[in-house]
Amino acid sequence: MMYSMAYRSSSAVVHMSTTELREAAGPKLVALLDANAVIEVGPYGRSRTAVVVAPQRYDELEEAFEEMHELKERLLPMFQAAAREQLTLPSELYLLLTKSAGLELNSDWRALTRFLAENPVATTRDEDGNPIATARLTTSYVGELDEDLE
Amino acid sequence: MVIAEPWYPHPDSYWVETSEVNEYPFRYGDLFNAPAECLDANGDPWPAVLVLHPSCDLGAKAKPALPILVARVEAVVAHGRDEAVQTKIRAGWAEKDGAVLVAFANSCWLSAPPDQPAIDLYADFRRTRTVAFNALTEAGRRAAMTHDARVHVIRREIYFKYRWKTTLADVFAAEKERIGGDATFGGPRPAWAS
Repeated sequence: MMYSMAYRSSSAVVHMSTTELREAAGPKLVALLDANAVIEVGPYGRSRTAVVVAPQRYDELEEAFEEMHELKERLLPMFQAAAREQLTLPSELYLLLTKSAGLELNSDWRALTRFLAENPVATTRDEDGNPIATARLTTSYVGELDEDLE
Repeated sequence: MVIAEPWYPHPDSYWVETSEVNEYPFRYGDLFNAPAECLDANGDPWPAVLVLHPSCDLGAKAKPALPILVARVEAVVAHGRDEAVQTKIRAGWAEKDGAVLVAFANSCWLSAPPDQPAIDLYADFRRTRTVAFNALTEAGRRAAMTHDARVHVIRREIYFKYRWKTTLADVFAAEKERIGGDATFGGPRPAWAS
């Protein structure tokens, strides 16, 4: 996915031998992770045995994975269903796909909003692309005083 | 955890049927004609208003001069030929680079009301003001929001105000508890809170 590709390209990858990791792991790991590095662990010249990233980076990877999963599991089937009804969706990828397929889209708002209500997607980012805070609501209704502050 | 939920309900379940509207007291989410004092900066009247005020102040506690919070409402097609904008308002989200983003957080899509069934609307949470309760009722209610739609609008308003995404299930549960504890609740109760 584009998000995870951007993540890869902007991260420095540091190669570290298992011996080096064992002997100088603590301080070096902390310094590298503080610098937002991606650390490949393994014998020099051979395939890596582990990749170490800072917790924040790991969270970003998880989010990117979830979004990719969402795209594959929900958005793409949704795009197919919307294309069958020739609906316009608020999606760059969908519009690109339907345009390249030469599909004429309609602007029937009622058909679109019915479709959207029946085919929900998970909104995971704010208007600027940042992760959204999710709040869980718990309630315990206590009533209120029957008086007003005028 | 990723939870897939629509921002808005089915368009045909947004407003109370005209034949039943008188059974429903005024509440948060109801659509009114705009009172005369609701004007744009250039002096044009607002097309309509959506009540964003706590329902209790519109019922037993209502007083003629009580200031009631409302948001400006206009037709989605007021955005002219920009169908991309219109589609984002209707969805409340937009896909970009494989991620699903909130679109126009200040907007809240409203299905077409029974008195104008061809034209869907949206409320602008950024353009709010207060109007006197009696000015609002004199302007007249155009449509009463269904309890289900109200839950969706509350969720959208929470996101606009605090930038917290909540689940529909949580807002339904909170509203159910609130209704259950409201001894003065008027009109038909939603099936999920009876």
